[in-house]
This record gives sequence, structure tokens and C-alpha cells, in this order.
Amino acid sequence: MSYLTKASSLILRDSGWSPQRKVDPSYWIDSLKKTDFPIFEALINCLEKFGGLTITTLPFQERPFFIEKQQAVILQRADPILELSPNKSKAIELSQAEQWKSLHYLKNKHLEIAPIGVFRYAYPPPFDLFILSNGNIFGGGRYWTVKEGDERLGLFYLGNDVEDAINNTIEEFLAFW
Amino acid sequence: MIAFSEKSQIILRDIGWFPERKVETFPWINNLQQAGYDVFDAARKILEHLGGLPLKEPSAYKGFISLSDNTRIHFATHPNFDFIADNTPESDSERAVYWKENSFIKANGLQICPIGSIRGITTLFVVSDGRIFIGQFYVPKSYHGDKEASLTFLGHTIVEAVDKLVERCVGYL
Repeated sequence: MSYLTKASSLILRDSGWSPQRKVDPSYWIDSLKKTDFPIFEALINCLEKFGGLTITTLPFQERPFFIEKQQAVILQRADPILELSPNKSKAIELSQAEQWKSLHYLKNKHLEIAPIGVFRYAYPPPFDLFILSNGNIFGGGRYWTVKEGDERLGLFYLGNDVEDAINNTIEEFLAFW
Repeated sequence: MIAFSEKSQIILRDIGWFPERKVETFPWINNLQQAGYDVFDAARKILEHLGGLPLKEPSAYKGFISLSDNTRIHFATHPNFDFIADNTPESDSERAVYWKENSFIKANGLQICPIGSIRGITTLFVVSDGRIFIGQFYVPKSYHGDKEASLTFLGHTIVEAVDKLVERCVGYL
């Protein structure tokens, strides 16, 4: 398990998270079961810790804060928002379980996949957040144009686990000066 | 010298890199020093290995690529970085003082040196402990005054930084 950085902890606490937080994930698990997504341990652990949270950097944009005595700010290039509620994902809304489960990447590595929420950026469209059975977090929901006329559903890597993915997302907008 | 990821090696080889690459750094180091930068050991080593590698339009990125573990990837966009250290955005002799005086650099007793750029828009910097940052001048909306020389962390090492830039462009099919 990765540790949250100081900046991530600060922003997460502002979103209502605490290190002791543990919520009942059964509502989301029931929804996932109805859509043929598998249920696995990493998914349950993730939802228990972070399920239901909306994590945004907006309150911190351009408001200097300090990390290890260094002044840091969140740049106002965009307003990344992570919503850790599986039911908000397009994968559930559009019943895409079979499409996602059939990705070559997952079959090759014998991994399972389930949606855990969405990532909204400054400009649309938002993309889905997925967790794999090894705990890795990926974004998805884009069709990648491999060549003209050949568009494929694909994943892009966000982090080794959910803490790492949150750190990486926040780090891209964190500046020192 | 450097153990880049398999994905990074695909991108780097396409712009002329090879594992044993070692080039003459004199022109870049001379120009950087004249601009006011100290070229410390970590910067010198990166320039020796990667210096002069250019931006290049995508070529090997059509279709999907099978990696050694049979993973199929697709580069949706090209990372578009270069390692032309003496021609980076907003880091000329007039701006060098702003980077050297950045509070993060000063408070940590670090030195800073440009090593390249991303998309010709932001500058890649190495600091004297080997960490890599993306630098850009930024006008905060809540401030009324000059642009701030801001640094965003990219990697603890040049390998981590390049791998991260490349990873951002990879789709797993």
C-alpha cells in the first residue's frame, strides 16, 4: 500500500476523509453485482476507505499551503475532481461490463476489473476510474484510435493502488515557488 | 547507464537514443553557464546521455505494439519532450535568476539547471539532488504582479521522470 503524500492528505481531509475512515460498501457492491462486474478484495478495500468521497483541489487553488516548510500551491490549470462512487461511472450506466472484461490486457495478465468512480477534468468528457484485482488504478472510457477506422476501448495507468493514483493526480497540479 | 522502461525505450530509440549513448556536452554546458546556470554533476550526466535528442513527430506509434510480456499498448499521443538544454522556454539569461531564486530551490540549498523541454512549452529542470521538475512561469489569478517561476515535481530521477511522461501517453488495449 502506498502512503498518501502530505498534499494528498491535506486535500483528502478537506473532502471529509480521515485515516480511520471505513464505510459500508454494500450499496455499491450490490449495484456492481447487477451489472456483471466481478467483486474482489482490492475493490472492497478501496470502497471501504474512499467510497463516496468527492476529492477536489478547488479549495486549494492558489491558496498557498506549506509542505515541509516549503510554500506550495495548486495551479489553477484545471479542476480535477475524483468521485469515488461506482454508480457514477459510464461503465455501469452503459452496462459495459463485458466490453471491459474482454480487454486483452486483463486477459493476458489474468486480472479482473471493476469501476470505482469517475475523474472529471476542466473540460468534458469525464472518464471512468477502474480498479483491477491487483489493486492497480486505471482510467478508461476513451476509445483509442489505433489506426484510421480502428478505435478500441483502452485503459491508461493512474497508480499502483488508490493512494498512489490520488497522489499522482494531485501531484500534477502541485507547484512549488 | 540508465534503465528506462520498455515503453520509454521505444519512444527514446525513435528519437535517436541508444543505451550506450554518450555525447559531447560542451556547446550546451557553455551556453547554460553563459546564461547564468551552474552545471552540476547530475545535469552533466543527463546531458552526456540524453543531450541533443530532439522533438520528433510520431512515427512508430501507429497501430498497437506488443511488449515482451505480451501486453498490447498504443501510444495515443507522443510525449514530445526534447533534451536540448540551451534552448528551453522561459529559461534564458534574463530568467535564470528567477529559477535560481525560487524559494523551494533556495530553502533546500539546491542548484537548478535546464535539461530540455516538453512540447516546447514548459522547461524540464534537474536539481542538484537529481530530482526532475517541470518549470513554467505562471500568473496566479489571486496575485497582482509578476509571473511566478513555479516548479512541479516530475520524478526522483531522470528515469522516473521520462517513464512518467511516456506512461501518460500509453493506452492498454
